[in-house]
Amino acid sequence: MMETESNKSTKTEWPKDMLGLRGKTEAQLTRILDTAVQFRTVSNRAVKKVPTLRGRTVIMAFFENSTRTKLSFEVAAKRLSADVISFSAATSSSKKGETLLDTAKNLDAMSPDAMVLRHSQTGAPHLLASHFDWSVINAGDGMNEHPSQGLLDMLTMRDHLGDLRGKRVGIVGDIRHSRVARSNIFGLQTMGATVCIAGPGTMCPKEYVGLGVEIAHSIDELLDSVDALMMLRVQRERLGRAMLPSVEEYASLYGLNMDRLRRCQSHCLIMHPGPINHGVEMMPDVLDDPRSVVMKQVTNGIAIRMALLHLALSGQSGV
Amino acid sequence: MRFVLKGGRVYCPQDGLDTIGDVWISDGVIEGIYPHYPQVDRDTPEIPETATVIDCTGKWIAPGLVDVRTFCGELGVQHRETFDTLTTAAMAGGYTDLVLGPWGAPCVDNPAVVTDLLARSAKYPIRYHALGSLTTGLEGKELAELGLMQRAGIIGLCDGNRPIVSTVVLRRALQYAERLGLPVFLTPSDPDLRAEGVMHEGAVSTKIGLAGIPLSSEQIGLSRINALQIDTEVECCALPIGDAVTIESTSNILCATTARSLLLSDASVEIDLYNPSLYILPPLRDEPDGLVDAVKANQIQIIFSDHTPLTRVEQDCEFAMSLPGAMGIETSLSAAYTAVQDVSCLWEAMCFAPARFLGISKRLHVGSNADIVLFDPSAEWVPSAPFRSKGINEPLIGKTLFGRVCAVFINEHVQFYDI
Repeated sequence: MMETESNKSTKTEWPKDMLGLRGKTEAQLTRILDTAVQFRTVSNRAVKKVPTLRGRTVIMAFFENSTRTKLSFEVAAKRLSADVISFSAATSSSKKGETLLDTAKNLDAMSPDAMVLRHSQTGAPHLLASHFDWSVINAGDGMNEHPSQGLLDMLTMRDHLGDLRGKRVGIVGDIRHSRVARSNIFGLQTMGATVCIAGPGTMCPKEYVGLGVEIAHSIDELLDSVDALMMLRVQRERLGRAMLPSVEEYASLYGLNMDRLRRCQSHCLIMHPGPINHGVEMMPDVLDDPRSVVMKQVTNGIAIRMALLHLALSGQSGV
Repeated sequence: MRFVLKGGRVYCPQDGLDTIGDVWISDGVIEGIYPHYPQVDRDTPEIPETATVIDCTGKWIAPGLVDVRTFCGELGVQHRETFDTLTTAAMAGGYTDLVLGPWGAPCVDNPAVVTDLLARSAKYPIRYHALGSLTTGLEGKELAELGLMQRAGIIGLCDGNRPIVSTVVLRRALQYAERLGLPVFLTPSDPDLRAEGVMHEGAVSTKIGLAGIPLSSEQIGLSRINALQIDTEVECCALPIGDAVTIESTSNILCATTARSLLLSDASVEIDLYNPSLYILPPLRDEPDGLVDAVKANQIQIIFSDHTPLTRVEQDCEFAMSLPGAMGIETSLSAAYTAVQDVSCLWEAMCFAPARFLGISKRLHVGSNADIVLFDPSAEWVPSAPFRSKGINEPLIGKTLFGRVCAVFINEHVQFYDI
């Protein structure tokens, strides 16, 4: 049996692991967001570094390709003065058939304080969290969760919309395979927001009703009612698996273009977790609209990840 | 050695037995059966001092169970199970006849392997039977030597635990099996819909982010088996059934389910989050109560263990990276009793029905060799490691179960359990 993060806390009563937003309380999420706001100022200084995690070792273990999440976590850890060691799937022994647990046992022997893990398998961070004393921070597992992305999205929304309670957030695209959508759904609902989703039937299954989200038949149903509209990346490899007829059809039926943007409320935030397929889920000119906060999401990502590392490690001895 | 099982409920309907009484066993043979009702048999002899008397008050004395499909790694996968470990585990679970699935390295798809497997099993007290693969290498492409395997001793055929993709190959295999008079076990699943799914597709899979397998996968799989059974008239059992709604009332096929699926559901995968012991194919569905009702209504005629032991190496990994399957040989009877709470119903589903289907004799009469399980329905226990099996993937660890085997008598072999 795997322990959930809520079962194993450090002495400050903050969970040692950040495995997902499912099951987190409103107070916990608020604390992360508030901590991130405090850390945000660090990035605006000339010397972008605080000694919070000096002498602590953080391993970036990315078994799946990543650019922005990996860099964002690295920047976050370095701004907290942690020693950062990175490795990726291409250079790891997983290529030689080593199991995740065996790899982690070897890393454990090097006495890390935390691991930021991205993995193609749902539950991979949970597996490591249940076996080791160091903190595990989920940077995306399978199609399960991507909690830091969900949190940075929520922080961006809170910055612009204020209290999230009663707000309505639309998520459009491949919800089925999206760990970003799942983390946003869990987090936003806990904060009192309503989530409505739209997308092709193959990517937006009816089972999501069971999570308490509303399912719209088309993106057009959402436009005039949502306070934030999150467009998800369409993965082109889904095309060959009968998930979509063509990217052109997707762009026409579900893409956010200027015509649709005009029907959104004047305060409606336009968001995207990146990387964007320009001309598919989002037309290029949409990004130029003042309602687009895509780059602010990236900036907030560093603050959120600093907060997650700080909170996870601050209860451990040495800090 | 003489044993006197005294005052238990002696149960074997085909021998006209369902009574409180005594059973005497001497040197592995049933020496006497003495019912207490309508009155204590006047012919009951005096118990000799040398006999071991076992107070069976409140317990059932019945033939040993038959498991219709069990994994044993004796052929090339000994790190997962051997006849030594499987025998002790199965006896503790109340089984005296085990039917081995065709997996192994090599798999059971030719007469030489059948002969080897049965020869290796011969020295054990449990009676081992073998199923042959319908196709070579369990690949679903070419027919295996079904007739020669029958001569070598198989008692049935099986598609492994994955459906034969080609309907043409499956139909021909069933036609061939029918003419040989061999019963066939088939997996009700549509491989396309199963795809990369690892659990029941529904609210829970959506919530915890695991790829789902729709229920329609089993419905389509079972409809296909039904149609081909009507076509070929083969004796056929579909297993395992994961949800009672898939069963067609007009069907001529037998349906089997696993004991664990009467107690566990897809919700277990969230409660015991990502525990690989719960990665089972077909997956745990969301209506175990419906399965229990189907067993009671005899829409599901057989309960089996689907015992698939896996070791720590195969389980210490991400959920979907584990091999599918779970143990069950030590816990199935208790799990089924906890869910169904009807010993007669269970003995029909776990002993008599599978024995009839496979042509295995299950009797309780004077002069026959001992094949007796002593079952205490009032026992309460919680499964925990270590197990007698080599596996660690027992999904019922920590669950309170009711009913347990107190003793097993097979020929001259006797095993008591401290419960």
